[in-house]
Amino acid sequence: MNGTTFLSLARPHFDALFRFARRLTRSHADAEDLAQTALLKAFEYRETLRDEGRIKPWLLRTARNLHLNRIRDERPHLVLLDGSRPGEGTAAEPQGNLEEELHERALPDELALALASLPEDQSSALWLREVEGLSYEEIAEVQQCPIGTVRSRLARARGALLEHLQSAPSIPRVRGGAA
Amino acid sequence: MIGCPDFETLSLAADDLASEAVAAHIAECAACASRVEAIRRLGDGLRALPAARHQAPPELGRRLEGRIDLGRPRTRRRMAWMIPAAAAAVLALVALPLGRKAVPEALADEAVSQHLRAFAAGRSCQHESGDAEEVARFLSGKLAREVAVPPPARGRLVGARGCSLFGERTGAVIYQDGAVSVTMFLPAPGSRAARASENMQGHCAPARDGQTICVLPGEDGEPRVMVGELPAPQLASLLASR
Repeated sequence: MNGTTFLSLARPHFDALFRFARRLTRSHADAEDLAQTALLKAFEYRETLRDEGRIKPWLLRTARNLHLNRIRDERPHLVLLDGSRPGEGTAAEPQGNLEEELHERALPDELALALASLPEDQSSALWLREVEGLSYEEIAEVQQCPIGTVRSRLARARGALLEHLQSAPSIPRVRGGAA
Repeated sequence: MIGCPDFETLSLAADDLASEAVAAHIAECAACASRVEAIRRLGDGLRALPAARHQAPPELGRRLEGRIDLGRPRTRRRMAWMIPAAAAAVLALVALPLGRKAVPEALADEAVSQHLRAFAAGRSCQHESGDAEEVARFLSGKLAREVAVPPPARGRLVGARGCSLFGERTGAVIYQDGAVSVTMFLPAPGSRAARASENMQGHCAPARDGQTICVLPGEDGEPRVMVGELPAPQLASLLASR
């Protein structure tokens, strides 16, 4: 597979890759760096992609692995992995357009905060399912876990979010709680 | 009829992955239906978040194009430009991983400068013609050496002019791809630009002012230095292959 072919296969997934990288790094600049590094790594190992139709989860998995490798080498100040509440550890840094950042944080703040409070594996699974439209099998490939684990992560994430939002008076629309 | 399933099963049902028995129960149970609906509305809420609409910055693709070898497929026809006596050496070269060498900055800067300056001054063409052979004859006469001018694979050939790269006489062929003008420089054999292009053929890189530069092999073995405000794959594929 040459560079031109690789680019044509990967390009439709640039947005999803960047959004996922932004979720992982919580920084626009770091997300750009992670996304580019992931693409370069993926190109380097392109011959390991056995099914071109699965390039999306393959790219996302590459980004996730790179991110995990990086944070393992750093001091443990990135707290999302252990599921601690926002306000602890490193806050998301405002990057790029500050007005846009502030607008993002204004609404719907509760849902974004609730998502950020989840452990990384749960919030990522939910993001990949709901926003990026990955199947359970594809999420399992990205997170390198059994499908059963994806199933339970999604359920736990959804249950935690519903519970969080139910207790937040500003978001009354959501009904039904976790079991 | 089964009883109310656990939350994980309801989560599956929200993704339309539950069994028929569970689906039948949910259709009859208001409480379970309400929970499934809440899970689905959660998904709607997530998709409505601003972060869900973020797009990758355009520089992401551009930077990537500049750093990977586009590596057009090797074909017997493409190798026809090789001088037979040097074929083995060239084959050995292309068999090596070319890696991510950057196009020399001096060459990129000089080529972009000449490209932009000509259009800014309104002097991009001394000879206007869409006939590749006619343009080749004009340039051959101007440069006192034979040059080949390929027709474009898309867009149109506009014309040509004599110019210079690093102070040495060079031919410039102008193409237009949609609204974008592209210059193809034809540096003379042994010139500084030709030497700077050695071992760079098949490589593209982002250059200043939003331009891209590609160094492509010509049929006569001499490099073609392309400059234009196009993504690298588009710039590299502008010329028709014979």
